[in-house]
Amino acid sequence: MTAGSVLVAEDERNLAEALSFLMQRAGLEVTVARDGPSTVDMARRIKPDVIVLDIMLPGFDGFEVIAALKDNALNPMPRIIMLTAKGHEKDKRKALDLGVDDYVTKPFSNRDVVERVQALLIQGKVA
Amino acid sequence: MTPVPPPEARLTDRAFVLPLLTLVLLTPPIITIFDVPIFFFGIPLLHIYCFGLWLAAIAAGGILSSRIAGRRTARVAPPRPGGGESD
Amino acid sequence: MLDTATIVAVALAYLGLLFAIAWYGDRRADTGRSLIRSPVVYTFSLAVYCTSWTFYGAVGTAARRGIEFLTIYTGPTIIFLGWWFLLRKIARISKSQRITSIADFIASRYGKSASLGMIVTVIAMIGTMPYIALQLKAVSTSFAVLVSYEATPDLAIALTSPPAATLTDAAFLTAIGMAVFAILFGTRHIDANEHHEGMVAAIAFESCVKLLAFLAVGFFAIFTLGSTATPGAGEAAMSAGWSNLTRFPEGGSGRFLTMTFLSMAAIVCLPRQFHITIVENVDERHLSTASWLFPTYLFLMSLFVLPIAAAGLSLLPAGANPDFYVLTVPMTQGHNGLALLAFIGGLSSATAMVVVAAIALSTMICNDLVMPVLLRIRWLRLEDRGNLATLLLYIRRIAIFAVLLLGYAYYRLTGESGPLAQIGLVSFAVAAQFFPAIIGALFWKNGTRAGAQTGLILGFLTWAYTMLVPLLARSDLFSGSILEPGPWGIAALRPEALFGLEGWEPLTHALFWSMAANICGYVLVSLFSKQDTLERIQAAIFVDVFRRPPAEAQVWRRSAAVEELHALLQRFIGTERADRAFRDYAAEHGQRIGDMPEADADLVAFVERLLAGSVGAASARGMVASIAKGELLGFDEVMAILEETHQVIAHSREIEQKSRELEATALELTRANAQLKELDRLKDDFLSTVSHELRTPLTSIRTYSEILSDHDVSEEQADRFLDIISSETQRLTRLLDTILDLTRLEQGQAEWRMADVDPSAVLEDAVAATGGLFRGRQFDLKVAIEPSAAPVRADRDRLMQVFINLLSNAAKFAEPGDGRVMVVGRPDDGGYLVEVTDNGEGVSPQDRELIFEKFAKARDRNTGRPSGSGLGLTISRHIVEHHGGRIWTETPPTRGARFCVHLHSVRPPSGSRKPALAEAAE
Repeated sequence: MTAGSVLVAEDERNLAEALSFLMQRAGLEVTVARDGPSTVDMARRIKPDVIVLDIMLPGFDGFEVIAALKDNALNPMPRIIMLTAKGHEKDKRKALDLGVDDYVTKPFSNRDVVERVQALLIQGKVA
Repeated sequence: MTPVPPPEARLTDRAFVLPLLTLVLLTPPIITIFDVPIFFFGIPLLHIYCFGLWLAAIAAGGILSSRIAGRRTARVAPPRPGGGESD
Repeated sequence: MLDTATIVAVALAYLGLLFAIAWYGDRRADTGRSLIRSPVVYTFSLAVYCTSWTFYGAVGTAARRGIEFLTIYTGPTIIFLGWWFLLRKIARISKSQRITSIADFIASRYGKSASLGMIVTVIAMIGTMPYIALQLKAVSTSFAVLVSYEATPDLAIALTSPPAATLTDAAFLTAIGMAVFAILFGTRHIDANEHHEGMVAAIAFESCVKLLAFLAVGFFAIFTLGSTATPGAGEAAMSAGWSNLTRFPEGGSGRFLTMTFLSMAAIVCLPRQFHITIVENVDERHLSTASWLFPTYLFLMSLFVLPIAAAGLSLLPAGANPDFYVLTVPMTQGHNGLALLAFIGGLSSATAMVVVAAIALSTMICNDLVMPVLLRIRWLRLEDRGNLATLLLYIRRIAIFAVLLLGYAYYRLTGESGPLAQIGLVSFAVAAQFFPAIIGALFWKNGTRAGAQTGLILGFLTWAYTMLVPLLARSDLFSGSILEPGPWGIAALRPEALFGLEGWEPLTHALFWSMAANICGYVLVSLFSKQDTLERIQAAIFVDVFRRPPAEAQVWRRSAAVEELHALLQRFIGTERADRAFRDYAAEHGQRIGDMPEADADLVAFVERLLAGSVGAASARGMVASIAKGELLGFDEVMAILEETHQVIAHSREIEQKSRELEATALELTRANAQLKELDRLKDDFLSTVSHELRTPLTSIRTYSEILSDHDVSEEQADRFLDIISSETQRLTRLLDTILDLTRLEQGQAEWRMADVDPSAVLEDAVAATGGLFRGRQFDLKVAIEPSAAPVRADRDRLMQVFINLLSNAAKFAEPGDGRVMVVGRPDDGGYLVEVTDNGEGVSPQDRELIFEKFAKARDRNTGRPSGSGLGLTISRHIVEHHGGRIWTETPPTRGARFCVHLHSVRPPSGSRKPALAEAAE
């Protein structure tokens, strides 16, 4: 078990709740943001280790959130795992180009998401 | 978006009508209609008519010649991409 | 007080300045930095039209005959406004044919005829003499007025004393000075295109000077009139003169028309005008600017004519010569400096005219009179002589002197008779004789050389008889008896009442008869004479200049030795230029001259054109003919070629037409392709949005199912998660239903059960159906539904769907906690209007159209995503539009959003409501 803090940025209430449940069960500290601006805001305040970021966010979308985070030169920069929809190859490429650490396609398997988050946390500790 | 210039044929028609019209309006009998003892600031109506009409014809000629010149340069210039889609 | 020395000094200084400008202009041209490559300079040079006749004489005419003076300016205005048809064509032809003068132009058009060139030259000379004399007279008289005004103001009334001895005569000295100027700047070298840049620059400068001088006197006249003359007294004092000035001249219509026509013809046909407008034109586009700028110059020039005339009438003693009001009006007020400026302006006008006329005439005399004669004299063996360019220059220089001396002689012989304008009109009337031949040259292919010759000669003779003879008779050169009772006592032959045409004003009379003889001769003889081959081809080249004219080389089967051609050219334009011309030709045709033993017809024609630029078309033809072997094709063959050319023209028009059509088709295809691409993009967008919308509930369902199966959760949590799964499943179903519904609507597969429906009743039902949405959540719902005046044709269930959608949207978006929704229904504009207003965030103006798009959800941005499909408004719009109605959104005065639906009634609401409907409304 690896400890760490996770920020879940997801506008669908039900999905956010599910993700939050999963992260808590994995022993992680979870915060939820429901739109773009509050994601950036919270990322700055609580400095999470990992952000689970949905592409489709009200306010500004996932890409804009990443850009804002980079502008703010967060230190340390949180690891980012992106939730993308299947078939949006363009989004995936763009996300990777922007320096996203990993991505998961919706609908996803719970175990998959949790494992990837944990993998990122371990990498973060090593680095 | 600039308005679509009138076709060349219409320009040449105008270039043809302008001198004819000027000729007719600046010669008898039309001109004698204004030969009446009416004065504005001491200037007879006849003179005001002649000089006014003359000036108007010159202005029209100026506009026409700039249009024709514009048309000719437009023809020489390569067609603007997508220029025809403005209808 | 102006003394002779001062005036002479100023005049000399001014002439010196002109020499300097011309010299500078030539130097700039030699170094390739031309001064005159500007439409403005070109326009000013055109103002050589305004001679001292117009400078002094216009005021005289105005004082005598009022508004009539204007004709001299409006004629050119009309021709320049019509530049597109006449001047542009003449300029284009002249450039391609290297025309050097008006005689050359006419001769070239009618088969490069030497005899026609001679006729035109002789007529032009005779016509120009009085005009030059007039300028000399104006200079000497104005000089006399200036020096003698103080001593004897009456001298200005009538200058009848004989002129001074020749050598001290101001007119003679002026003539000599002008000749020197013309020789220096008009015959520096033989140029292939007859451009005299220094001269043109000086002429343009002179035009500025005369305009400024005239405007200065004009302002002065207005100022003086305003300050001295009380209008009442002035009018009473010289009511006769005043009425001349302000009224149209009694019975002057004929003369007015005649003069308008004359000045129109003159601006085209006067040799000097042709020279400066056409031959000296360096860029055809300058004509476009001059078309309005030159009339503007004339306008300014004439603006103050009447005020100066009025000032002269009121300030000077009755009987003073109105031709010199421009000088005497400033002098009455003691403004000698201004009078001197006016004198310089007059001098400018005179010198400009004389210089250009002398150069133009000398070119004509040399190219069209002397050279053809010299070429014909076999024993001179002119073709074999060394440098002919020098010969040409000497001929021209002598011609310039001859022209000016002849002009002076004419002045001494007839000088004191008639007002200035009268003499000028004599010249105009001669120039007008060229008009029919020129118009025919441009627009009538069947005009023949014989016709043109006949017309010109007949017209000229008639002019001489009806105009020149009376003029000479009055100067006692002829017996006066020829006027009355007529030559040999025959009344029908009286020059001023020919064939009993009595009571006409002399100018109109003369012009009528001469033009009648001219046009009849030209047209009739043309109809009954045959063109030869060269005439035919030249006619085609002139008339069709704007549509691919045939090439001359097509009809000559001739060749010549290259060396001989080169030698001929070199004799006229010098070795260096001849070499360059041959090099250019070779480069253009991709061959080397040295490789060609024989020059082909094309090269021969090229050399002939070059030569024509120096010696005129007719002489060039003669000289090339002496060394080129071969012959012109027969007439029938030429006709065949012309016919072919015509077919080629017609064919190429067809091709142009086709290619235009193709272009249009290609454009349409591009547009269609763009539309298809857009549709494709919309489809992709739709699919990806749909998949995203479907994925969201699916993801929730999968996640919660996995949680339930993987994790230990409390019963409470399990229930909650199952609830979520169930609601997301419902959401998925709703979404699929809506998408199917929309697809049916979009593809027109939906079933419509149309009937006459009362919209107010439907709206009330919709409010009742959605009541639950509002009641439970502390909403302030206001309903104001007025009965409908007439039913609408609609599918009741679909309409209900629209209203319910709007109402639930309102409930969704109204301010949370303090929701206010208002529903209004009322008859409006021949139909029924439904408004649903909420007090939520509202719709920003740029989103008003967007929110009706699929999955737009523009309103969601700041409020979190509501559980709508994002398709409701799209469906609503489809339904409303299917009913022929309109749905839109607007911003109410208070915050929030308002959605409106307007439906058309079946019948206009003019009649009374039917009882059945009233029931339905309840």
